[in-house]
Parts: sequence; C-alpha cells; structure tokens
Amino acid sequence: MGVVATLEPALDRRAAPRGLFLIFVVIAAVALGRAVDLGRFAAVESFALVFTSIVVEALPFVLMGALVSAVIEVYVPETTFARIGSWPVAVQLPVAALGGFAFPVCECGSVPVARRLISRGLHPGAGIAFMLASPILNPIVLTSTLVAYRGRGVAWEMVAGRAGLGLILALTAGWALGHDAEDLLRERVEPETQEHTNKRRALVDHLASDFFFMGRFVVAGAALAATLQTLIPQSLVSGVARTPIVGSLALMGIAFVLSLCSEADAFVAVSLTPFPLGSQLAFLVFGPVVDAKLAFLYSAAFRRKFVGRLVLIAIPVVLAGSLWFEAVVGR
Amino acid sequence: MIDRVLALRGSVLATWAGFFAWLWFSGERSRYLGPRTYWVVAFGAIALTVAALAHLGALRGRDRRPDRLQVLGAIVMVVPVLLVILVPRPNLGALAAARRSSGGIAAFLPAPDPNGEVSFRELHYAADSPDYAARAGISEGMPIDLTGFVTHDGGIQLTRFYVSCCAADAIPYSVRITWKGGTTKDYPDDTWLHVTGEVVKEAGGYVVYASGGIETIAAPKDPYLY
Repeated sequence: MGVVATLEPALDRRAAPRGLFLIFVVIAAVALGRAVDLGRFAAVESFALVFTSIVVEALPFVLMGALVSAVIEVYVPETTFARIGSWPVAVQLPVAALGGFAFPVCECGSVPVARRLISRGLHPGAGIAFMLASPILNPIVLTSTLVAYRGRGVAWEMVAGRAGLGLILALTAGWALGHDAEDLLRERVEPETQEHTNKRRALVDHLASDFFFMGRFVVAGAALAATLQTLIPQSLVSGVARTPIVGSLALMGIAFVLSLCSEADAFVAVSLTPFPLGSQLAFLVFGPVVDAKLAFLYSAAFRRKFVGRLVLIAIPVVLAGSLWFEAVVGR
Repeated sequence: MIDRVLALRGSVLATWAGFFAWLWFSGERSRYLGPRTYWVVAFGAIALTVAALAHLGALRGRDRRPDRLQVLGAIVMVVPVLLVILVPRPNLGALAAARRSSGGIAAFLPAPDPNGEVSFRELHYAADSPDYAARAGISEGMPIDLTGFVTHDGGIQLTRFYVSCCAADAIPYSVRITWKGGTTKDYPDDTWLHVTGEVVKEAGGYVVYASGGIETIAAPKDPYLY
C-alpha cells in the first residue's frame, strides 16, 4: 500500500512532462510542415482534401449513432431487447432489417447501434441485418436515390432495386454470420464506462466512449480511402465498364475506394454514365455495406474475421442481384 | 479531483467543435463539402459544442487517468484538424483530375435541364449523344463562357470538378480549348482561366474556340460545380 502511495505521485510527475513533450512534438511537426510548404505537392493536397472531407462528413453521423446507442444503453430497460431477443430468429431478422426504415442514420451511425443492440440481447444475426439494412433502407437514402435518378426515368425502379437487394443482402449476411454474439463482437479494449447513478452523466459518458471508439476508425478508414484515391487512377477500372459482370465488379471496387456516405452516393452513381444501370445498382448496394472506411469501423466493433466473411457474402449476392436488375430494367 | 479521461475527451470534442465552427463561418466548408451536406457542418459545430460543454461540466468528482490507448485515440482524432493547419486551403487540381475519370462513352444519360446553364458536364454528355445535345440546345457556334483550371491531355483543356456531397465524390469534366488557327497559348496546369468563345464540334467531341479571349483569374472561393 505504502509503495503504491509513494509511486503514484512520481508517475504523475513524469506524465505531465511527457504530455507537454508530445504537444511540443506535434506543434514542431506542424510548423516544420508549414515551413516546407507541404501543400505545394499536388498529391499531398489531394490527399488532405479528400481525407478531411470524408472525416468532416462522417463524424457528425458517428456522433448521431453514438447518441442513439447511448440512449438505448441508458434509457431503454435491459429487459426490452432481451424480450425481443427471445423471439424466433425467423421473425427477429426481418423485423430488425425493416427497422432500418425508421432509422435515418447512414452506415457510420448504424455500426455502434448494432453493436449495442447485440450486446443488449438482440439476436446477433438480427443486429447484423439491422446494421446492413438501415444505411440502404432509411428514408433519407431512398429519397436521395429517387431524386438522383429522377432525370433518368428509372427512379422508382432504382429505389425498389436498391431497397430489395439491400434487404436480401442484409438478411443473407445476418443469417449466415450472426450465430454467436461472443464470436462476433470484438472485446472492448478500452475500459467500459463506469456504473452511474446520474443518468445524464451516464449518457454523456456512453456517448463519448462510443464516439471516440468509432471515431478513430473513421479517421483511419478515411486515410486509406484518400490514399487509394490519390494513388490509383480510376481509368484503370472504368476502362472495363462495358460488360455488366465486369462493370458491376469494377463499381464495387470503386465504391470500396470512394467510401461515400450512403445518403450521398446515389448522386455519384448516377454520374457514372459509362456503366450499365445494373452496375450502378451494385455500387449503391455494395458501398453502404463494404467500403474502406467501414472496414475499419467493423474492425472496431466486431472480430477481425467478420469483414472478410461479409465481403465473401456481399460480392456474389450483389453481383447476382445487379445482373438480374440489368436484365429486367437495364437496356 | 479532475477526471482526466473526460478532460482529454472534452478537449478533442472542443477542437472538433471549433473546427466545424470555423468551417461554418469562414465559408471554407465549400472546399470540403457540397451544398447538399452543408447542414452537417452546422450540426457538428452545435452538437460537438454541447458534448464538449457536458464534459466540462462533469470534470470534477472522479479521479480517472487515460490509458495509453485513450491518449493515442485522442491524437488520431485530431489528426484531420492538424492536417488542415498543415495544408491550408488544399485544392483538387490537375493531378486529381488525372486520377479520377468522367468515364468513357455513356451507357445511360440524364435528361438535360432545358433552362440549365451549359457547362463542362453538359458538353461532355452532348459529345456522347446528339439527342442530348439537341435537347440541351448545344450546337455549333453557341456562345459560351467557362471558368475552370488548366489540365493537359494532348492539348490544353479547361477542367472543373463536380461535387455531390463531399470532395471525395468529385468528378472532373474537361473541355478542350482552341485558339485562332488551331494553336493555343499554353498555361501551366492548375492555372484558373475564364474563357469566352463559342462551341465547336470536332471529331472527339465539343471544344471551345476561345474567340472572346482568355483571362487568367484567381481560384474562385467555391471551386466546384454541382
């Protein structure tokens, strides 16, 4: 006891200069970077702009997701989700997936919420189905898809195709991947927040804990997306746009690299004019489920193998759906 | 007793709140986002300020110290803000335009807006489809007025990025510029120009014949078209 008591202030004294040193290093690095004028390199400029714009667009959604997740944790009684969790899986899965209609937050927000729902007793498959469906099925996303494709005369077909294929993918992935919550969720390395008697304080603590937990993965994912965008010429993939199969695979690749928010991606898809409609649908369904930024977010919430397994399911399902759509609605 | 975990988180939240507020009030948001997502900036500034204040209000009471991972996480979270200080006012220029593509021949074109202004994207689509050109009212000799930055692809081109929601989705559209007698005075990449002239149809698509002159200008405050 005595040893600990004498050590603690000593640790404290060392921690303060270390913190100051760190701040000094950061300021020195920024000053040095400004002095060399890093911004004159076009690649640095392009990276910085894309990186920052993805983070700026995504963080508010992460915050919303963290807020919803914290509200569930603090205000929804423990028994509620446990009760839903006792329903048959065949009911839970579609109910959870359709729950996305009522949750107007895109993919960055749905990941922490799904994690919270699963840890609260919802069937893991239902949690996954909700997480994958809500960024595609939510009303804002479907409306933006409708608006983007209005000029093409295929707006309702595109909305129906996106919602339908998104739902199928969410149910398939939920059914195939969500067996065991323990096997699915990554253990929190960060200490969970403490027990609180004050609910408002608990809300702030949970919100911040989730926001920071997810936020750094958004930053890392945005860095990957910006690097890929700066280094890889898109013409490498868009040159192969002609056939529906290759076109769909190419647009899934582009969706991965671009890491767009699902509330925005329809406006980009519609401008990918060299690609067949079915391939544009693949872009719209694959992107909100798997992209560079999400790969990092998933690895924050789930165990490592989750991302790989999800990709293995998403590619064939989306490809098949997009080819069918191209055959029926496309030219 | 001060809860240092909350203090650390609170300062990161305050940094981001300040950054969003700066984007909002300086107008710099138009560099990173399209008008469709401007609301994100206002929401971020307000929500993050509230979150930072809530942290400030809860500082006293518990004696917690952040572990190494929490400190590292906090540093990662402020990297984007540091990068903005490090590389202020970045632009997407000729290099980014070369990396991105507005694609080859269109499989499916949008309907033109008959009252809309004809600019880079409309000329690009019109090159693919005579029908689109007719409906958008694009024809040989049509007077035109374009502002963009210089890129090169064989000859000199004027380029502009079209943004939907954020700079990550920017798509470049280019138009070749010609001059009297087919020759063009050359400008270095990324020079902003204002070109007045007329539309001329050539084998590879529409080009702009700069009969009204070329003027070097400063980069516009809002670098994108939407």
